[in-house]
Amino acid sequence: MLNFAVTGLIYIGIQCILSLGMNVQWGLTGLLNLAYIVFMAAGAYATSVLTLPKDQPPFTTYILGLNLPFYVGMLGAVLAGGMVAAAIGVIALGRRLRADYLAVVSLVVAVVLAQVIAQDRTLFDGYQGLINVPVPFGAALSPLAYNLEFLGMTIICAAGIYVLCDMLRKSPFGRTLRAVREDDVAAEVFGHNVYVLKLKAFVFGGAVAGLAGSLTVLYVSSFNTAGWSVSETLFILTCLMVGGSGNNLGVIIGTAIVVGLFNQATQLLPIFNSYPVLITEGRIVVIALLLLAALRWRPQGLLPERPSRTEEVSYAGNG
Amino acid sequence: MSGFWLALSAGIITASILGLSSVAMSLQFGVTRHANFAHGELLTIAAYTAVAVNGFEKNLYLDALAGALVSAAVAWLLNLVVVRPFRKVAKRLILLLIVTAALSQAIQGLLAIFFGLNDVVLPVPPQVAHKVGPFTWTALDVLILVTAVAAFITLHLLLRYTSFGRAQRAVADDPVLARVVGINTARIISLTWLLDGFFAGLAGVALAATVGSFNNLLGFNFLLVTFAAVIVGGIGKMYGAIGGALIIGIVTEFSGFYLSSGFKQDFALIVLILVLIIRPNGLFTTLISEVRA
Repeated sequence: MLNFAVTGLIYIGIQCILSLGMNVQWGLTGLLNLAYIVFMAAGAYATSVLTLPKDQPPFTTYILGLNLPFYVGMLGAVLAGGMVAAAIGVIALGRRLRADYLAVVSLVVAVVLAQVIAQDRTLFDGYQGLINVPVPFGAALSPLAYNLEFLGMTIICAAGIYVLCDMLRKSPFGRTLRAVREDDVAAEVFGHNVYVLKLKAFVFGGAVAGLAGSLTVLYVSSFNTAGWSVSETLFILTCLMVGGSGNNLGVIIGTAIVVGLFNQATQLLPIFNSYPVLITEGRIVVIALLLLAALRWRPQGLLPERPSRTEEVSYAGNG
Repeated sequence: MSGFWLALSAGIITASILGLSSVAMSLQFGVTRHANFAHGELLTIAAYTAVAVNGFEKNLYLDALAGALVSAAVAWLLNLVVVRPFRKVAKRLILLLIVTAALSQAIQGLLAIFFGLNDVVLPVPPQVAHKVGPFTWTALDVLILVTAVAAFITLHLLLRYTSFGRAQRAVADDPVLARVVGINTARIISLTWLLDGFFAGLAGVALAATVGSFNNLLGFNFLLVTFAAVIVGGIGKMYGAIGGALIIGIVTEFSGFYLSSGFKQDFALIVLILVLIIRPNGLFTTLISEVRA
């Protein structure tokens, strides 16, 4: 039972990192990036091919395979996430396109990339994916001890990312991003290069997502194209909306609630023998409905974004 | 040179189905000013309905009609129950994108729960290819082409010569002014969603009939090419949507024939990305209008 709880906490921790990264893109900058999960996948694949030995398991083919230590893999994941984000950002953010366009382009890129990787076995073994990614440390530890150690690493990463994101939010850069979110034309008029700002937010979010992907693949030891679809990005969005987009603490709470309750608790329910599909698909439906409910009745989330503190200005003679 | 005509024949049929879907989306977009990410699900619902009705009565026309009507009803309901209430409270239009994306997921999940995840088949009588002039089509192909053309002509007549059509164009042009003139915009929007669902439903059944077997992702996969056609043709313009569908449909089949059939759809999407980068307002627009969300 304790092992189950620890595993649940690890998943929550990883999801928190993902949510914090998306919070920079959506919460701070207002970018609806439906390809967000691709950055996580980039990180996962990067870690895999950096840490796997050359052609180790039978019947899988992939590039690289350098058998480097896991922390190099994690660093590679951050870089990969950032680079993929930069590439996609250049395509998707280049013009002052309508808000719809970013969503459509990101969706298109996500789907096309998923297809290409699924069909080309030489890159990351197609849709079967990669397996037997080396475990970070202490393979000789008991499962519970290993989980606790991994949880420790996850918490350290999550705390670090939280601090980073909060620093970003409070910084002038963060304020500028929020200005872009509210009115990018006005921001441009005031002299900010909106395209570069959006790109920076994109790359930052991508790097964070890459880290989350790296942690995922290090814990689960495998990764394939089924692990990243549009529904995953919507799941993250739900975590943001429930908790309060723009507010990092709200995002953590929202993630904990959504992941903890829905994902892990439903695993405790007995699988209806005649309807196993009900659980997996039902989860998707419930999450979607939860997102709709949150948007309808509490769009600011549980913890609304804290307004920036400015002095009260009183105008003489206001009636 | 026969390969050229084969590809062109296939391209025209693909364009017909795509045209139905794109025109539907274009109609809806013109009036609501936001993309509907659940559009694909309107096709999927019609396809599943057709299969269900086919279980009772093996008549393809009946199946198609049933599918189209159910999709029309679903579209109308979605507007009534979800989209319209959200439009009243949404601060930014982009929230409606998320709403429709969530709806898309919910519908996919519900369809999987009710119909299972396994592939479903819409049985059609076995088809024989005939030569129609320079083209090579089966009877089903010709039926789809005729349906699409009939639908476009009907829509053209509807929009041009009826009071509903005039009102619809007015709302698409300027909803506030339309209301000032006394047009019941809410009703027009409702009816537009109904039309959107109907044509999308026709496209869904046609797709199901031609594709062999499908699952709950049928419409979603078609959503992206629909976006491609609509954006290439110019958002909100019905005739542009048809033109865009022709371009995308033919490009898809030609690249599938001459290059690689596995990545057929991806070529269409590459066309989309190129158009978005070079001429985001579409190929058939003359106004440089920038609508901000």
